[in-house]
Amino acid sequence: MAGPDGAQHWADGDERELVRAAMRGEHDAIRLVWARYRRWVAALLLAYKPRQTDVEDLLQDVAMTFVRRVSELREPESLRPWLRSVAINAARLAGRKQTVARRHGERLRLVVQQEGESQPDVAAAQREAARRLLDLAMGLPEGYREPLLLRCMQGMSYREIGAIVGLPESTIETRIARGRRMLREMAAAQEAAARSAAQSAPIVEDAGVVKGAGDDRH
Amino acid sequence: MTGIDRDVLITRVLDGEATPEDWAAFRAMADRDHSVWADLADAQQDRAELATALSEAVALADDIEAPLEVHAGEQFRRRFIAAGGWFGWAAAAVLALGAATGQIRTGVDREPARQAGLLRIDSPEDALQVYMDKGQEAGCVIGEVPERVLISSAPTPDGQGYTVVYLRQIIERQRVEDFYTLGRNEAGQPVPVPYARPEPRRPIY
Repeated sequence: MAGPDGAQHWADGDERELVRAAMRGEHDAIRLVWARYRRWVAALLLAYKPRQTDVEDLLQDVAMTFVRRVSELREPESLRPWLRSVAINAARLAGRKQTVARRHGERLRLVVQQEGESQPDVAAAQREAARRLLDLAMGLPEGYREPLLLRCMQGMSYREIGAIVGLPESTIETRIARGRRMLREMAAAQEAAARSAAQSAPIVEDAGVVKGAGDDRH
Repeated sequence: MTGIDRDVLITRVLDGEATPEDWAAFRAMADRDHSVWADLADAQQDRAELATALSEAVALADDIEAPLEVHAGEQFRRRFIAAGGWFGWAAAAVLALGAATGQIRTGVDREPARQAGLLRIDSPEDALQVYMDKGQEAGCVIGEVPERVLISSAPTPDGQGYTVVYLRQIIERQRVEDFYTLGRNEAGQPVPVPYARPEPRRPIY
């Protein structure tokens, strides 16, 4: 299947047939399957990668493995579990190598700031809060982080997530619920810590005199 | 009802997976404890914020295309390995080429010209054959892969056949000091990167 017409055909067609075509080595199908799954793979990488590792580098590794080995799949249904294992392996390998970080978090922050500049402050504040929440989510235990992010990412059902992760639907549901609870508690703790820090922070007065909060001695 | 039950119920409501029984249980719980509504609102806000941040974080994936040039190289490598060695592969090549082109040319009919020192080139096929012969003598050409990679095909205007565009694959051998493959830099541009020899692999899934 070649050319834009071919790509359009697959875009409207059956997912299994599309994956089969990719397994047969049809380039349009390989390209389209990857395009459909790359954000999902990125979410998995986020869930498993070491904090300081660049998602982009890992994505390229996964894309390379996908292209090289998709033809070795035995059936289209294996694609998602296999891609998941490729992504997790790539992330863990990066962790073992202790690859020096590049600034994904900073880049994200930059994007937030740049976009925020052209929008009302309220929107910028919301985006900043969202980014903080994602950072917190990265601190959840692995078993909770992945189902939560997959649910967020593409609105996958508990059953679909369970099939990919290899856990019962009820376990996935519980982990998502518990993950959300933990996230809320972590966010609350962070807010409390920020308030506490603000209250105890030194106050800089106009004359450049620094004094501690609550310190009224003169 | 334990804490985790409450969380599961809120999660079901939030994710649109609540059954009528779940909704009834949720309402009953909210009647007893109004803080359930606050929990639901918080969870809803968190979910929306997380989805926004995650969507931004994974958007960079849109710039990472499938490296199809790797696929072409991989196909080539597999065919060569699958042939199981040069001699068996060479025998298969004759058959495949014959079936594909109907232009099998044995060494016998070329031999007199070669012996006489004459290399007559009347066609591109002749030119290619000379290249193959010379290359094999010099050791830098191993042979041609019998299969041809189809790039495109279209019916001829007269409807009597097809025009096919395909790739012929010739295996060469060279000694090199360094070994590179194509990778991508931060901007997604192809760049040469040192190549590690591939390990034997197991079937996947």
